[in-house]
Amino acid sequence: MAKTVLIVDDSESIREVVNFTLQNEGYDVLVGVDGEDALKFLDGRAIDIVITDLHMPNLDGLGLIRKIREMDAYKHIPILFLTTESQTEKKMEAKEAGATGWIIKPFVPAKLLSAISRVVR
Amino acid sequence: MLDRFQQKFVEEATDNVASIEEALFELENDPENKEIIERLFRSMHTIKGGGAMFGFNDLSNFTHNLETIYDHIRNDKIKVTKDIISLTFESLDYIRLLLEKGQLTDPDDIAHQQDYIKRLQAHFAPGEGLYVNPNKAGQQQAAQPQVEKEEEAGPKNYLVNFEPFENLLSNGTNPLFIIEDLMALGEAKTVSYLQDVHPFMEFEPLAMRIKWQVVLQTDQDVNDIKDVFIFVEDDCKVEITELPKGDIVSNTDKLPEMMANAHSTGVMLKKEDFDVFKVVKQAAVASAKPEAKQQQQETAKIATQRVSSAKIDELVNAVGELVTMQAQLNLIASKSNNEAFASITEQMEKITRQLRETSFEMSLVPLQGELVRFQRLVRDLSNKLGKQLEFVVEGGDIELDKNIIEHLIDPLLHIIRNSGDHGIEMPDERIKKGKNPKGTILLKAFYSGSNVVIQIIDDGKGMDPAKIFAKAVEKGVVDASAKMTKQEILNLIFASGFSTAEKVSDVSGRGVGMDVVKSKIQEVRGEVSVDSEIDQGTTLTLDIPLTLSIIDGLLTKINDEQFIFPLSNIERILNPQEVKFNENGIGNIFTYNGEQVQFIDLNNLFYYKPVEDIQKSKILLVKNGDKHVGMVIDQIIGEYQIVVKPLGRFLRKVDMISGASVMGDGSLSLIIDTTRLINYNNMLRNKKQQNKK
Repeated sequence: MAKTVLIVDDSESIREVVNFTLQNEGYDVLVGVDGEDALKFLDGRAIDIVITDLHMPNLDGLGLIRKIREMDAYKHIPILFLTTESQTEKKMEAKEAGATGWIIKPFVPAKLLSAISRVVR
Repeated sequence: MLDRFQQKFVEEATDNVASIEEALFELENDPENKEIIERLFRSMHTIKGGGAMFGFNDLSNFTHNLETIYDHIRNDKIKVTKDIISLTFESLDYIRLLLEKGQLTDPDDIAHQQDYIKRLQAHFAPGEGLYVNPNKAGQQQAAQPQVEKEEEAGPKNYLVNFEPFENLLSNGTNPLFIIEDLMALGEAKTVSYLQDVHPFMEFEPLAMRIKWQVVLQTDQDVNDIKDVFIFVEDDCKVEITELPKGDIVSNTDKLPEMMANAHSTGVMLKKEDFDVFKVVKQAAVASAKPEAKQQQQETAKIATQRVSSAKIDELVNAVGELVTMQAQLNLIASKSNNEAFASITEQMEKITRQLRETSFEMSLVPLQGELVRFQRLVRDLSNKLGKQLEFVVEGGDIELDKNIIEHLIDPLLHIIRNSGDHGIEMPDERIKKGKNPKGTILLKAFYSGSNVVIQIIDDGKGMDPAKIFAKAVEKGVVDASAKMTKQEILNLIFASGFSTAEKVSDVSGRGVGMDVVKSKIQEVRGEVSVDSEIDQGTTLTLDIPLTLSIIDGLLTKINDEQFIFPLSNIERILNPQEVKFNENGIGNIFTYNGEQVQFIDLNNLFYYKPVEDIQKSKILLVKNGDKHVGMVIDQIIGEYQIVVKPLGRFLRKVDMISGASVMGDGSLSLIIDTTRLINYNNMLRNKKQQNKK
């Protein structure tokens, strides 16, 4: 069965390219424009992985990750965050919030897919 | 693929630049407002990230420096100044330009950007590092290990310890994926340690208490191994140890044992544990010859395998059934006119034949294994009888069907016992005769066609035909007036009720005579014969077929009935036109290849009606001793694999028919034993000649 990916990014172009890449690979894709918007998808439906940006208006990536980890249905699903930060600080913060891993921007589709395949099979 | 998104990015980035501009105006009036600074930073971040994604690297690089200023501001490292704001406005114009231009190619433009970036960097907080393009930096880093790789070619071995912390599962990590990724880097073997896992009642499904070790042989760099753990490096303990080079992972000798041991004891493998592989390698180089020898022994060890004889019997039986089914299939295929079907059937028959031959070979065991029993018997006999006996074996390596060998043991023991007890004389008697005081019993085995011949030859006193005849008369086996050749008299020892032992000794025992030996041998379709010269010794010859179950046979028709001749017995198939029949027709003789060959008209022998036109028949040339015999039959149908079934005990005496076989179409064929048929025919002829006299 196709895996369902929830992508959350305030950048339309990033959303588009991630969405396009994942749909091409046969994933079912849900798209949230920020953390607040993404919450509407987290209603108990099957979601296999969340990919979220960190810097977003309304509810940012860290906040979204923390909220997801509080939900029984999604407590243990893999969450990847998009970051341009190569500093470990940001990563540590996100990991402490409950993220599984990260994807460093910029990324090519192959890099995105390989990061996903690290945590969802 | 990304092209279609570039336009989107440019639109989006232009929007972002506009919103940055708006925010800048706000910031001018409210320089301490964190929310505005955050918004500015985020927009710049988006431009930077998208720029790098969609091929605007110069834009990304430039924006990064701008973003860094605002990162420092939001982290309270520097204060917003008028200078910074005007520089940012200026930068926005430049960003717009870059969005229009794409990548910079003109050297002047590039130099200009370098200056611009320097101006931005002048506003960085003191002590903060200068930005280096992550792509280019990455390339430089990657280049270095490659140089190292070239120094030492060939895959390296690593021992990777992966000890997750208890909370590993809480952030959605699946440790098995990590193991999989590790194993995907090359050849790998993994051992898990479950010792810390709580027992069932106290089991905590979310607490990670399993540890792993992976022995990995890979061409990849050690950084690639580290990369596998990139998401979990803070959630586990990872140790990567380089091991000696060589075939560790593919080792099937020591490694599985080491790993199984580690798994069960919970004592994790250490680098030193792998020194054994190093040592082996060195030893191999230092002394290649003994190693090679050992390897040979090892292959020999692997080459044989113990299989229960019951299983081999099962296999042989199943193959027997298969051969019968194959015959049915062949028949249907030949009638079907379907070429594809026929071709597959033909190929299957090849495989069936191969299977038959292989399973046949599997069921053969060397006679050697049983020889020690005979050796032992001879030793015991010499002690008990006070004779000097020597047991000599020739051709002990011949192989026979296991079931046949089992049938042979008792007869052979009996024959050897007779030789020791009755054949070989006491030492003083032998000296008197001028013989070596030590008597010899020779067991000689050799192949003869599809048969094995086993002879027991002693150099004892031999058998006196006069004595045998007298005894046979005494026992009522023959009439005293019978006229017999020496060979016929010697053959009397196989008659039931005859026993050569003049007194019942505790060695040869009572009751079991040569008649029992003969019937035992006949049970395996074998023949036994005797030859003896007084004071020179006795030879008993057993002629045994290699196997009982399946033979290659030639299916023929005689008087519209099907008969099978074992193919191994037939030397040649002749047309009557190829031979010259004796003109007067006396004695059933024809001349072929300069040899006078006796022939048997099987129509006459079986059905008492001579073949109507011998010119329309076929002749099978069969070897009989050093001569040939021609078998005249009506028709040849073809060559078949024949599963031999015994006739059953009521027909046991019909010895020129060795068995029967069910053919593919369900019909029955009788299998002819040519040797016995010839003997039977000769006997009939002798009787006729005697009657004439």
